[in-house]
Amino acid sequence: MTQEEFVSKMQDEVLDTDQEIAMETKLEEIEEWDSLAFVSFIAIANTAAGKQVDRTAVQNAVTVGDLYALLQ
Amino acid sequence: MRDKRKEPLRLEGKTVVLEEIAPKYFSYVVAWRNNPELNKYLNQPFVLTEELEKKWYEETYVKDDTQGLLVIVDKKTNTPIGTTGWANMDRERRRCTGERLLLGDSRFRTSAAFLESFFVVGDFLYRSVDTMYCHVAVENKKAMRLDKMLGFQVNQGEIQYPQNLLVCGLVQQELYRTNEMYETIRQQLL
Repeated sequence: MTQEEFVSKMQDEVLDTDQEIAMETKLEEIEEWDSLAFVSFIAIANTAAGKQVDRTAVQNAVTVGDLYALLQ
Repeated sequence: MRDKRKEPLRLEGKTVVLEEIAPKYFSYVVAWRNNPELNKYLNQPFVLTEELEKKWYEETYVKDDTQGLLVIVDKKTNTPIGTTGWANMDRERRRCTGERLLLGDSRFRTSAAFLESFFVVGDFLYRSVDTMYCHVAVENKKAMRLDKMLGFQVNQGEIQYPQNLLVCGLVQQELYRTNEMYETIRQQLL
C-alpha cells in the first residue's frame, strides 16, 4: 500500500473525517482518532495489509506516518 | 450464587484488569455516568449519586447473578478508565446482553487496554453463552460502527429483547454475535 493509498484509507475508512490529513499529522490533533478508529486501524492492518500489528505500538504511535510504518 | 461482595470477579488480560464494581469505584462510575457527553446514550434519565449507586449495589446488584458490572482498569497506570458488563444472563438458553460499555476517561480512547477489555470480557462470557445481544441507539453511529467492527450484526430476525428497543426516548437497534462470530473477529483483532 502506497503512502497516498494509506492516507486515503485512513481518512475515509478509519477516521471517517473531512479533516485533511498527511503522514506528518499528529494523531492527537485528529478528533476522530478514538476507540473506533483504533479498532478500525487494526482491522484494516489485518485485512488490507495482512499484518497483525501490536496494539501497544498503535497506542504509542504519534503521527499518521507512525501507523503507516507499522504496516511495513 | 457467588457472593459478589466477598468474591468480586477479577479478570486479567495483558494490558487490562477488569474488576467487579465495588464501593471503591463508586465515585468513578458516578462521575462518568453523569458526564453529559456519555450520559446521552445511557438508560439513566436522572443524576446519579454515590448514595444511589450504593443503594443499587446493595439492594439489587449483589443479589442478582444475571448481571455484571466491571470496571476497566489500565494495568500499566492502574487507572480506572471505564466500565463494561452484561445483563439478562440466561444460563439455560445460553445468552445474555452486553451492557454498560463506557469509556469514562477519554485519555484512554486509543489505549490497548480499552481494546483488550472487549476480548477479556468476551472470553469470560462465551464460556456461559452461545450468543450475546446488544442494543445501540440508532443515532449513535460511532457505537454502531464499533460494535460491527467487534463482530456484531444487526438482528434481522425475531427481536429477542423488545423492551430494549426504546430507551429514554431513543430508538435502539438489536445486534447479536454468536460465539463463532466472536472467535473470527478475535483472531483478526487480537
